[in-house]
Amino acid sequence: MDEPTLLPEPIPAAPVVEPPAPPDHAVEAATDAKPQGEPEPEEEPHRRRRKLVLLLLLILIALVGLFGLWYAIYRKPASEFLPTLTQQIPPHYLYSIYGATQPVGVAVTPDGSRVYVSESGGTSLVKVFDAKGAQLGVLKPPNDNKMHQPVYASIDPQTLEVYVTDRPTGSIYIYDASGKFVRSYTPADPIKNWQPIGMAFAPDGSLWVTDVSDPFHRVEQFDRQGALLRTIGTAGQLNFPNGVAVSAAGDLYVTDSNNGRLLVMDGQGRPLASIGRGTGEGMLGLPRGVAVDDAGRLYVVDTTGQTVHRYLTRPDGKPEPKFLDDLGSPGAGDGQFQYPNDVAVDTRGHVFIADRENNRVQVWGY
Amino acid sequence: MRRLALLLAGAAVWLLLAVPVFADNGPHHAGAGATPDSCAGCHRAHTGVGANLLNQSSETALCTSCHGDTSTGSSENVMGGVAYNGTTGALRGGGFTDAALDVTLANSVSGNPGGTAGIAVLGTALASNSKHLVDTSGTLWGNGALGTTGAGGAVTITCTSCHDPHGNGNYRILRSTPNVTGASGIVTIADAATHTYTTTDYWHPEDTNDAAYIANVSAWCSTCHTRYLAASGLIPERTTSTDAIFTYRHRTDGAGGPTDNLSYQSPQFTPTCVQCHVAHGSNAANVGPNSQAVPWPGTTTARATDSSLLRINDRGVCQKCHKR
Ligand code: HEC
Ligand code: HEC
Ligand code: HEC
Ligand code: HEC
Ligand code: HEC
Ligand code: HEC
Repeated sequence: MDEPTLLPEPIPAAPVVEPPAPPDHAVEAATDAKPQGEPEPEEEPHRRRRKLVLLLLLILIALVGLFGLWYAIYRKPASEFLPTLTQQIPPHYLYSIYGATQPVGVAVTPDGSRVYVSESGGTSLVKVFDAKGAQLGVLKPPNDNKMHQPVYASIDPQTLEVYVTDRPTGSIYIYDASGKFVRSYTPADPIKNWQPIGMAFAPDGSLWVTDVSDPFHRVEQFDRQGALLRTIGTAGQLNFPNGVAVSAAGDLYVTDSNNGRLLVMDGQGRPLASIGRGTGEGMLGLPRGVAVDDAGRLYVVDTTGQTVHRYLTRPDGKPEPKFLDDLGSPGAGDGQFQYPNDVAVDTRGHVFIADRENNRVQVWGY
Repeated sequence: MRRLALLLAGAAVWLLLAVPVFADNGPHHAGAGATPDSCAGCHRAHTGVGANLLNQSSETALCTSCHGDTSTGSSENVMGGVAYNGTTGALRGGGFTDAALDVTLANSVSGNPGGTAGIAVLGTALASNSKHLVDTSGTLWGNGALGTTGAGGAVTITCTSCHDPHGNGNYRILRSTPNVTGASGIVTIADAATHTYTTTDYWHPEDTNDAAYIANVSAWCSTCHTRYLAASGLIPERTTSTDAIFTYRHRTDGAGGPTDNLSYQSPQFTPTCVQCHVAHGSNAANVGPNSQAVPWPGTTTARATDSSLLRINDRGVCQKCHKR
């Protein structure tokens, strides 16, 4: 009944780069051509001009058409522009990406064109897929003669570099957008036996990391140079913190997995709210991957709940997320999950879910 | 001022919500340690698809959510056989898909069996060649009292056949009586004060804390593999058990040291099941032809060509104790 007041802020302008503006180009070319045409004057200047105008018009129409087509294929579905509907309409299952064995982590570029999937079985590598699910390659860890096991991947929105946490070596590997290993990320002040798991980039470019190393599990914030800015959690508080996500509003969402809760904090890491463990609606069992999309919807994977919970962030400006619904049910069919582990979103209303025991990444959409 | 108050209130909420982290044992807690809502970590009330409202099709998949490769809910990857605690070490039980035992017998050619030398840990785990097959039907080798016909019944075991997921205060939450048809006897192994899951030496894997485990493990394995448990024999005539298959058996009871002059090299290592075997899986292999084709009594076919969870390739374990 009070739904209208619960609506999110208007959807921000799509952050996707506009296509190069060909109309301007065409105009330039036309004006360039004009002086050249001048040496042969008197000959029906009106018809020539009309032809030119017609040509320009045609080009414009073609461009608009092409843009429309491009838009229809790649941008948000129309329902996403009707904010009154978005909260009521749950996303639905679209298709699955196969090819990764027991995937635990998934990351996607903002435009949805590249999907990075870390597998816990099979090759134990991060596999790269295109939006349709064709495999493009793998991310190879640096050859340092050590065991490797990727956990989660995250994409730096500023550079499109891919960050991958590696459990046995306790490090973060960075790959460029083409999949080439670039460097390892290390805290500027080395942390003994660092055990990074989940990652999220804040709007200011800093990196949040969940860390399960001794002496106590915690969440750390680093600046772009790797300097430790902040540590959340003290002895006895967090128990295998797992996923982390930052909303456009700057709020921080962390799953405290073995404590079965989701913690909501402000951008400075100060606690605002939490959702606890239980079997009631929207309550958690073993929460892991989290993601917030650009419409302010929060997705929390519940591994033993065999589902993804959907919440609305900042309802009425309040920090406690409002539960909307659950995605899917337990099982092996389309849209069903067996031990899902991670979730990622693009800016086109797609939700990617690593469905571990079904050996696939499910793609849902609005 | 108002904002400050709000923040403080927020902090208080969080503190109230702070759930104690158990120093060890993770979610496996009996009695006092278990909070009612901790159950939801593994059980869901209305949406269970597995038995016992486990909301899962496979119990193993539940365990590997925390103990599988990546192990984001614990530090022990029992599949890969390694611990992710940042320190060097591999899991004592080996691993179901990979294990990191240095399975070659050092110095064996020089006639100096490495009784006191260890079995090192590899930097990179290798594929396991034998394991306790979970979720697959297998023979409960040696089950039943001496004189029972056959090698043992066909059973399917899983993680919870051996471990009690709710915690029971025993060493590694091992069930006093494993949960499988045929298991008999009650063997409760007292827990150690500190839990060290890793080792850097698979020949001396345990620490002084684990005396109760070493003293009782043979009896515990034998709740399933009943007829493998054998006490000291008599020199020079060994005693026959009269069983058709398990007629003469190497001592396995773990009690006491050497009782004779069999060039026994290492008085401190008494033969227990886990002196020769690991509990989960091993990357050892039967390299030589003799080890590969050991016929099962009464048949001409080899029982298995896999490495029987042994800690060293072929029969390297024998040479760790006997200078032959
Ligand atoms: C670490 C995961 C885990 C947690 C936490 C857990 N269980 Fe279980 N539970 C299992 C598994 C696996 C089984 C099935 C195997 C078995 O019988 O032990 C089971 C079986 C059961 C059974 C039926 C069989 C039996 O042992 O009686 C009951 C009742 C039960 N659980 C209650 C609980 C309650 C109550 C809690 C919270 C205090 C809880 N469980 C917490 C994993 C868990
Ligand atoms: C929610 C995550 C989680 C799940 C699910 C889980 N475990 Fe654990 N387990 C842990 C943690 C945490 C520890 C403590 C050691 C550590 O901190 O790594 C542990 C410890 C253990 C130990 C050592 C206990 C001891 O007394 O030293 C055993 C054995 C074990 N788990 C078996 C199982 C089995 C079998 C299952 C499936 C029924 C299971 N676990 C499911 C998280 C989990
Ligand atoms: C719950 C009953 C049970 C317990 C307890 C048990 N086992 Fe087994 N074991 C089995 C079954 C069933 C098989 C055959 C199927 C398989 O390989 O899993 C087996 C097979 C084996 C094998 C042969 C593996 C191969 O490669 O074919 C060895 C060796 C072994 N067990 C050793 C041990 C040792 C050592 C212990 C104690 C640490 C132990 N078992 C405890 C049930 C048990
Ligand atoms: C046949 C019985 C058996 C089965 C089946 C079994 N375990 Fe174990 N497990 C043991 C024993 C015995 C130990 C103690 C090993 C030692 O200390 O030597 C152990 C140890 C462990 C440990 C502590 C780490 C280590 O390697 O010492 C964990 C965690 C564990 N088991 C989890 C599991 C999980 C998860 C499964 C199912 C995939 C499983 N176990 C299946 C018998 C079993
Ligand atoms: C002195 C080393 C040693 C000890 C101690 C030992 N085993 Fe074995 N075990 C072996 C070897 C070697 C094999 C491979 C087959 C063979 O040579 O008999 C084996 C094979 C097995 C098998 C596979 C079936 C078979 O017989 O081929 C089982 C089951 C088994 N052992 C269980 C146990 C149990 C249970 C204990 C403790 C009560 C135990 N073992 C103690 C060395 C040992
Ligand atoms: C952990 C040390 C140890 C290992 C490993 C070991 N033995 Fe023994 N072995 C002994 C001891 C101790 C005795 C004396 C047993 C007694 O008290 O009766 C013995 C006795 C024997 C005997 C004398 C006959 C008998 O039944 O007692 C033979 C033969 C023998 N071992 C062969 C082997 C073979 C073959 C292997 C490898 C599969 C092996 N041993 C591995 C310690 C070991």
